Amino acid sequence: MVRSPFFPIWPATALLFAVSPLIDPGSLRASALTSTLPFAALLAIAGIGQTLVIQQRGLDLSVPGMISLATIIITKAPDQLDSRFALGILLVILACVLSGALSGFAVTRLRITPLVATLGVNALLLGTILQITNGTSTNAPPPALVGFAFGKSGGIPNTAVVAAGVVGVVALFFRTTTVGRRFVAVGTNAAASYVAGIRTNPYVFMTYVLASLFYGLAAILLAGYVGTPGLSAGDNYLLPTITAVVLGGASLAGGSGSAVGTAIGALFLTQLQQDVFGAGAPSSVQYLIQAGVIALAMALRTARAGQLISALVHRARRQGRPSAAPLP
Amino acid sequence: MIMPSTVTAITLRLEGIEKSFPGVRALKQVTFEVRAGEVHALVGENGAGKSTLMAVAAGATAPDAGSVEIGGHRLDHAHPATAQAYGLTVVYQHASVLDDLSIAENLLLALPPTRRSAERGGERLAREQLAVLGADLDPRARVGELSVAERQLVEIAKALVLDAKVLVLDEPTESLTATEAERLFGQIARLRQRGSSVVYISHRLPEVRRIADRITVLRDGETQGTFLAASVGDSELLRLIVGRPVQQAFPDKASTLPHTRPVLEVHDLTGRRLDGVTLSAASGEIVGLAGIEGNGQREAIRALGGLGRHSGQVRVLGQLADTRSPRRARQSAILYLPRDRHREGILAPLSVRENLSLLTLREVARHGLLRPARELSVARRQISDFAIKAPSPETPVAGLSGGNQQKVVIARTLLATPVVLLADEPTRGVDVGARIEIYRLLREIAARGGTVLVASADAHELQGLCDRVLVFSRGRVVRELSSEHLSEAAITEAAVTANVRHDAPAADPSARQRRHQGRLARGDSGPSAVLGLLAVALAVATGSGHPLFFSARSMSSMLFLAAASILVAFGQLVALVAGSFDLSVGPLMGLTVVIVSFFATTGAGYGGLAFGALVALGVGAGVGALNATLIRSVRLGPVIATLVTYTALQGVSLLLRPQPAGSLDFSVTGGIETSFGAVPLAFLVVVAIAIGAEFWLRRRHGGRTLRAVGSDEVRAFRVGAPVGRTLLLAQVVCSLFAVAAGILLAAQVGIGDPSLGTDYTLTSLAAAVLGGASIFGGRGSFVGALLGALLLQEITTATNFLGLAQAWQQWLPGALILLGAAVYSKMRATRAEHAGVAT
Repeated sequence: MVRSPFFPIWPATALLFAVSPLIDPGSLRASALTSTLPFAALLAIAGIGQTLVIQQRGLDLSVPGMISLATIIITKAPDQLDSRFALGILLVILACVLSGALSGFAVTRLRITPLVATLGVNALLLGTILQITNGTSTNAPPPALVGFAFGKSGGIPNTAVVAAGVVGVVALFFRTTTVGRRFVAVGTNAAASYVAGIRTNPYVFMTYVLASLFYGLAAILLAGYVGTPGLSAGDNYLLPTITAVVLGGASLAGGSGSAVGTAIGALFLTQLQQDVFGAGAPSSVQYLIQAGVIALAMALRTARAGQLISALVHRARRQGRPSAAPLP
Repeated sequence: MIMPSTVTAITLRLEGIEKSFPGVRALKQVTFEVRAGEVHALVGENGAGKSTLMAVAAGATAPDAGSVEIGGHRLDHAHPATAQAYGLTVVYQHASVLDDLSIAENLLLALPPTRRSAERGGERLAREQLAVLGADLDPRARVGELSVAERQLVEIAKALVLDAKVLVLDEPTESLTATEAERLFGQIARLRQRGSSVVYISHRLPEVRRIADRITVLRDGETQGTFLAASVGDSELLRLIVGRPVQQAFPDKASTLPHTRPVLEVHDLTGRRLDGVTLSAASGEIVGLAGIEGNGQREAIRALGGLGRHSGQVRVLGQLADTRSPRRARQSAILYLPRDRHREGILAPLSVRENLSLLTLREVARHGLLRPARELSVARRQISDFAIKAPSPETPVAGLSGGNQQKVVIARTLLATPVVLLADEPTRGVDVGARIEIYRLLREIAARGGTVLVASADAHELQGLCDRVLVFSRGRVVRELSSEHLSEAAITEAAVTANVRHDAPAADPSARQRRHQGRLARGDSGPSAVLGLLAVALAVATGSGHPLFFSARSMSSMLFLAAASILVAFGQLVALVAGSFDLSVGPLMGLTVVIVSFFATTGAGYGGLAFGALVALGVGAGVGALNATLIRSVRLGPVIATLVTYTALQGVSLLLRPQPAGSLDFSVTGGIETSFGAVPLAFLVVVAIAIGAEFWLRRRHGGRTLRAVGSDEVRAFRVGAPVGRTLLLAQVVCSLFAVAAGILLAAQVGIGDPSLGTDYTLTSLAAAVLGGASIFGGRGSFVGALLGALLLQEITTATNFLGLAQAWQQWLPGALILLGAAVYSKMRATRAEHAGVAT
């Protein structure tokens, strides 16, 4: 599935890392990298969930609710006891499956537009958070989780190892299995896939369940990494997941999408944040730079530099034409 | 043979037209002239450039070189509105009517401004025009609910109403019944007599012969000459169209079918448009299914392929077959070849290889793991066996010609070894050369011992290809034609005579009834009624236990809070109706609070507020314009574009106010919060806006244009709507509404807090959707959005009164959104089903 649209994020990320030391001399030191990588890893894992949904022509707005709820479950259920860590994970899985199944049911059976369906599900998740916590702050996660989240394997942060594993498995799955191929087919053209004898609904349904599980996994690691995550830890993940996916080359029109691209997109986004932060810019400037970079990256991708310029010149001359010129 | 130009007035002149698309030179130095009072046919294969040439004439496509002259005016800047003003109108092959608008609105939209005002609602005009074509349709019916043929009639009516000097008809009879086509020919004759010109694009030579005065042949983007219709023979025409002598187009038929065992037996097939179809097909046979569109032949072939609900008994080689889904049908070796290749056939962005292996993945895999080498070799073999013209197996299918795409679909279907092949319009949109090969392939499948069912609207094709033809009427097989009785004329005759009474759509009582089913259910006001009822019910339920809920104080505070959500929901609604989407409204509200906090400071009074509001409105207009630019000129699409502004606006707010600061003038915020008893002034204003805007959206030309553009940009452009300007304005108005909402928010909080507003993005979306807005554009209601936002606010207030856990403030809206969306979606699906649109 390595097609041209996934390509530009690679040089862009390489370029970003190349200029990083100019902005903040310490940014490529091992210590700086090991503090950036976990955040990139978490975003990558959650982003893969969003990738799956976008591949099926959806947009998942339940990311914040799911991540927040999962962090709360994993900090509350074990009550800081390692012995109950497994219980916490089990409950997170259960919550993710339920939430994903509800979204999937709403999209496949009730035929609700994914955007609207996940908007509704997100509200249900937020309500559940209020119910569980009574609006008060949360516990710390079990020590084993904290240990794992901060731990390293062969010098690489565990979170990054998990993310790399997830990315690898998902990418291989799409490239090498019949189920993966059918999944791509359903995302590209569901009606044609159905006529070709593929049962489309289970694929779409499972997309939402799997996506939720990825959000849950990201949330568990997040809880371990930040300690007490608060009630709305997931709020910071909705737009970044979409951005990472889009930077990674997926089209919001469905079908295309790559786990590797999304992961690189997540890395790019996190490193960018790090650089801006490292340069001592206030959060206001961070927002602005982020916005500018997304716009630029996207503009380059959708129009490819040369075309863009000619399009702008062209456009100045003829006004009021629709973006898609009617072809024969 | 080429006619010298005469003194007769030329109404349309295309000279030296040159047009290239990436990778294709579509038109090469084409010159084409149409005289006043003539019917000029333009014929050629698919892809010959006919439609492109007419798009150039209509101003929908700008030529790379050459000139267009309509009625003596040079068309210097390609734009449909200009071409239309000069007197040229196009009836497109795929009706370019706007689904979300009514028939009358579609007609009004096409009218020039001078005539528009005289027509008011346009219903009388629509009724008259449709009557001329013999169509009895309710002018208020939404076009999306009509059948394909009915939409085509609306498209034609829309063109006729313009009294064009030049009328271009692109394959207009494709979906019409014989009677409807006759009426159209009558209208063409009338136009011709009046001195108008008609350009008639068609591949049906008999039709062309009947009505054309002159014929121009186009091949590979070049004219092959213009001829008097009376002086050129069919074989000569065919030779020019195809570019080589055409031999036998059809393969030999099965030589005297031995009465072998039936391969397919269908007994009492019943379902939508199917009233007990019984048929059988033998080994080696190609059986055609004919009939006037909508009589069940199409549904029969789809039902057998596992598409569409039905009952009845199907046997393949004597074994009972399950045809509840394409997957199950396939287990009995029944395979369906779809008519709508783009919708149901190809996976356009995927490679030829991936398309070819789709049905037979298991054969190129082991234990669920793909074997790339094997997949590639299978693909290569199919490409060469079926002579698919593709640069490589890795080329995306979208890049192939229509004929080659169809061959890909056929090739992959044959890999699945069908015993019964169901071909639905197998040569639709396929050029003559590929057509001949497809006929040969179908014959081969039959010859291998299978059977092929072909549904086709082309009687000539059925005659040439089939061993036997079954003619359908009203969901039954009414005639069987074979051997010497099988001819084009016999097929047409059988279909038409069996259908004399059925021809007029009005005769179907259920269709009538369906169209008159309460306007509520199908209109834009249904959701409003439901939301209104819910709001009242919730108020009564809450107020009965807690009388304080109805107190002036509680009411006015609730309604004031609601007013801000309502305003921002209006903004989101405008964006949604325009087919767009705006994530940035929330942060823009926040930025407005920040801006206002600099001007409406303590002691600054109303002057300060007014100035602050003006600055904020200016900024809002700029944000809207920026969104529009990012969406359209930079082509980011609404989600990404407004995600960018969403992020940037938060940055700007923080830049201006790193910390909450700047208390607002208390007297001013108090003024904004003025309330008449239980009803705040702001709420009254918002209600007035809702009523005014609703009227504008439904009844005024601007509102119609907005809905038209949101419904389908390309089609709206074709009828001359100012697409770019409309989308720009929609985005600006959306932002201005957000700014207005931000001012109310500022009055609520009283301080320049940079972190506010973001929550409103999702609230606005929820409110608009609850109010019945379609996320796909083209429809929505201001009153609905108002009630949606009001209900969401009421839920928050009521849960407080009822002492419910805070969780309910999220659960109730969440459940409401899911429930509402499910109901609307169900209603739409039911309508689509009634209209015969495949879902």
